[in-house]
Amino acid sequence: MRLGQILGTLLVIGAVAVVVKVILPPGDEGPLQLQSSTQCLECHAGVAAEWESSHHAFAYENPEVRKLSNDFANQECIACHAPRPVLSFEPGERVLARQSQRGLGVDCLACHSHPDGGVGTSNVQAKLDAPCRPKVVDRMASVEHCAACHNQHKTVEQWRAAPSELKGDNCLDCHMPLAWREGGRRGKDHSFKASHDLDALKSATTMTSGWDADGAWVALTNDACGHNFPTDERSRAADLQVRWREADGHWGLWERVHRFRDPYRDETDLTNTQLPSGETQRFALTAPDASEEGEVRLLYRTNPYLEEDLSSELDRQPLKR
Amino acid sequence: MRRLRRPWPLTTLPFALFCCAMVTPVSCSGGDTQGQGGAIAAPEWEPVLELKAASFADDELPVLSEGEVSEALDLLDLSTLDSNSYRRAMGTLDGKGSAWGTAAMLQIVEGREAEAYLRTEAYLWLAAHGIEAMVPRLLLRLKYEKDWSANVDIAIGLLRFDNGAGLDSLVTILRTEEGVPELDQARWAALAALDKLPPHPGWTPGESFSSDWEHLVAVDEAWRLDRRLPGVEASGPPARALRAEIWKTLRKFRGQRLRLVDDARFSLTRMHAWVFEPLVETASDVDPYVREHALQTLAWIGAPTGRWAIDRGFDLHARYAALLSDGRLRPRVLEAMGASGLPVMQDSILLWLREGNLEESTAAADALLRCANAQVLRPIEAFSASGALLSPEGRWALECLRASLDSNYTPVVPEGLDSSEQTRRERWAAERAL
Repeated sequence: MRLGQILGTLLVIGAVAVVVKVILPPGDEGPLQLQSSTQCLECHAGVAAEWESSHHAFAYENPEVRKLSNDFANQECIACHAPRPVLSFEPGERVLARQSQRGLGVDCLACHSHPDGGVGTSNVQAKLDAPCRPKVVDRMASVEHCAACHNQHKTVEQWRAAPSELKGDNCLDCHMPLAWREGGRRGKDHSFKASHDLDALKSATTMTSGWDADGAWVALTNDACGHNFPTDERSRAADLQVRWREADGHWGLWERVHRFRDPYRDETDLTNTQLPSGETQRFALTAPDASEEGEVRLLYRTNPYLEEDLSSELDRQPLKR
Repeated sequence: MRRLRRPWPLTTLPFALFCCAMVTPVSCSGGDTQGQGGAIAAPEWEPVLELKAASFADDELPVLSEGEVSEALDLLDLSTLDSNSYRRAMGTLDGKGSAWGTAAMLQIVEGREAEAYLRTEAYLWLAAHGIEAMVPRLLLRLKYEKDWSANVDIAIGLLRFDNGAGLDSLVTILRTEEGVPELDQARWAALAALDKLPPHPGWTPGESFSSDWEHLVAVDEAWRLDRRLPGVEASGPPARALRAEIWKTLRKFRGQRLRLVDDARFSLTRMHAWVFEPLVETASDVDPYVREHALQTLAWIGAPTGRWAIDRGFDLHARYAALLSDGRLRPRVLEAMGASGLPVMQDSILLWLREGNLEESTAAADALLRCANAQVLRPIEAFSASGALLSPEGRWALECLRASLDSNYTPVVPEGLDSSEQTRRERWAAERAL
């Protein structure tokens, strides 16, 4: 056989093979073996940028967490701040700590890595032949997926007890709204806006106040949270405060009317004062006799000892006799 | 995402096209992220906790009703009136049995309802009369009890059963200079508690504060190192009621919530060395969480487990090595092996440094840092030179180990290493000297 015939035959075989490869659906190629979330950036830069602005990305570096966990010498905290892939555990079961790359916090692999290889997604339109071989996993959109960590402080239990009109279908409804990315791509917002986002906090409750025949009053309604306000055992605190204008025109100091908070386990003298979803609490205010004017405000603290000037003022309203 | 690409020389285009279409890609190695353990048969798991619960059910402390706790509170209140009332109240409590009294006092100090002076009385009663079965729950009070005087009573109660976990409170109280009101109140009680320390040749309790202090610090240190009080020989296995409470504590490992598991780990890491064997046994439970938490507890206890194994002739290596075949459990097993500080573990660990996935090789490197001797120097030098994939945490662990074993070696901090993870490994390196 001449050299030309040989080359020609091989060329035909090669061409046929290519055509077959293109026409047939993907074979049993395994998924890209994912060792680190940094591998995800190349294809998912938009999602990664959202995630980098989130407290999931910050989970292991957060100085507040560092302080409360004694710089993670309290090793039990590591499990949720640098978890192994949630899908490796039964739905709703607690996760356990990973050994490596803890600085990445709650990273892509923590939520998406699938125990059979590749990644899990709740996106039914995902490209299933992508290198990371996405698999549609229903539980990723369920509260159980988040419960592994977020029910450690009872948030999911609070959600279960919430009125149906406030709680939506799952955690994603409020915390992963629709996001549009470069090129008109649509997805779920991975910045997980919650207690570290002022707009999200402000939209969580409604404060009302007045000064009628019975005196001044302030009320807070949890009318937009699918869980208690503030949620989370221990750390979060929301204070209703009041101050009065004195006779000489100066404002007095802010005084606490009420603190909404679930206390630390060793604070045995305190009880849970969080505001459940859908409920309103009203407080009577005692104005000094000479006062004709006051102010009420709602102050949110990411930990109960946070100084006032570092806390977030969610609302402020005037009071007039 | 980056995928490995095969050579693509233009001169072999047809062959390349053919190969590209037909050959199974070598860059995609399937979904087993659990490393090389798939080929090894998994150990036989057993319902350890369930069997023990059935076996010890009758020996657990009773759970008293609200009415019974209220009755105990009334008796404590009566005991504070005068000496006659005290005798009458104590007599009534004695009549109800020591298990009833212990359960009642524990429920009082664990609850929120009792007034402070009654909680104080309850702690005093436990320190003087509580039975051995109270130890796990009394240990947990060290976590939650803020009253320093109560902490002194807890320390005394624990010392009665050869447990030195409360000594830390005495050290804190006596080391703090006067002027901290909440500590000042407890100072005299802490001083008085020193005569409860185990005897030591040449030490006479109360002879001088300096000798009392030195003895306290020495006993506290010995307890930390061995989870045994120096000079105190175990008189035999602990009472059946205590064993029942330990198994009850271990059952908390089944919980989803952080609190239950953490509480259990807090108590168990502060128990007498006797608890190590039940913990090792629990590492074979059918529940994967229970296995993980048991091993984690053993790892947190650390080197005392290794010293105890040597003293008892207990083959800890064999027990751990058998668990390595479970891929999910493997990083935790490696962690416990390393934390034991026993060099006998190092060959088994080295295998997973070379063969494991990123989690396993990191756990193996950490484990070697905590237990390996100079024999691993060559293998880890070779591993480091090979350029094999290893996390920043793992690389720093090996750097610290090399520096520990070779005084001429200067460790280099890898890029991307979190500061707390750097500190953690430096602490492990420092602990090698203990």
